[in-house]
Amino acid sequence: MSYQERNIVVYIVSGIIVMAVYTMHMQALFEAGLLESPNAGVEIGWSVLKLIGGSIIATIVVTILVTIINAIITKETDVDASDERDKQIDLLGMKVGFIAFSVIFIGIFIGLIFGLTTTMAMIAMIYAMWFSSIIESVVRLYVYRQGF
Amino acid sequence: MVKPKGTLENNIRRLRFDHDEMSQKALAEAVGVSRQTIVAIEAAKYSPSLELAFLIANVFETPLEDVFNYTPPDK
Repeated sequence: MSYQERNIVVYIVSGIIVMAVYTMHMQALFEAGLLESPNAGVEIGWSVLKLIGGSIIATIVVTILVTIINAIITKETDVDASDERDKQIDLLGMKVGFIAFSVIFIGIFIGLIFGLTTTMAMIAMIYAMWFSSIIESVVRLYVYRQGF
Repeated sequence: MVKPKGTLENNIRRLRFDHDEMSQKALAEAVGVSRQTIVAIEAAKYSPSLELAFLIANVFETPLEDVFNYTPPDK
């Protein structure tokens, strides 16, 4: 597995861990009735800030762990910078991720027409961003594995 | 309108062999890309930029057309 592929796997794994923790946090807020209170906006705002902080920490921790494990197993050191092919693959991934986000974004607005609450729409938007970034990473990983 | 695509072939593998069996890694380092990019170019799965193509030709000290050859779609 190349340096770039490993980075993508790290991003996907840390993203899944963070969103699992975030889901548990939001579940707790929901069960406490805080997402239906007048202060729901404040709770969601704080949850997003915590999500951003958690994502940064999780990515750093998972990257360090994977780098150490990889160095022990393969005895390789990372010397790769991204080149023109990596940039093209990034661009393709971003394009697909953007399309995925756009589709979900429109879906959320259609949901609002059919009675989805604004609070739930905001939460769905957060998940849409996460999901589209995962789609982007999966597409990049697929293209790398195909050899492009 | 969709442009018909030709085929871009290359002689990198042979040129590497002729240059003291230069490894893909060594070529990658010489032109400043990853080994995976050289693998993809060699396998004709990725068409390099003009600059990278010239850099590769420069490493082998040979004209560009000796490294890459393009066959138009109608031939």
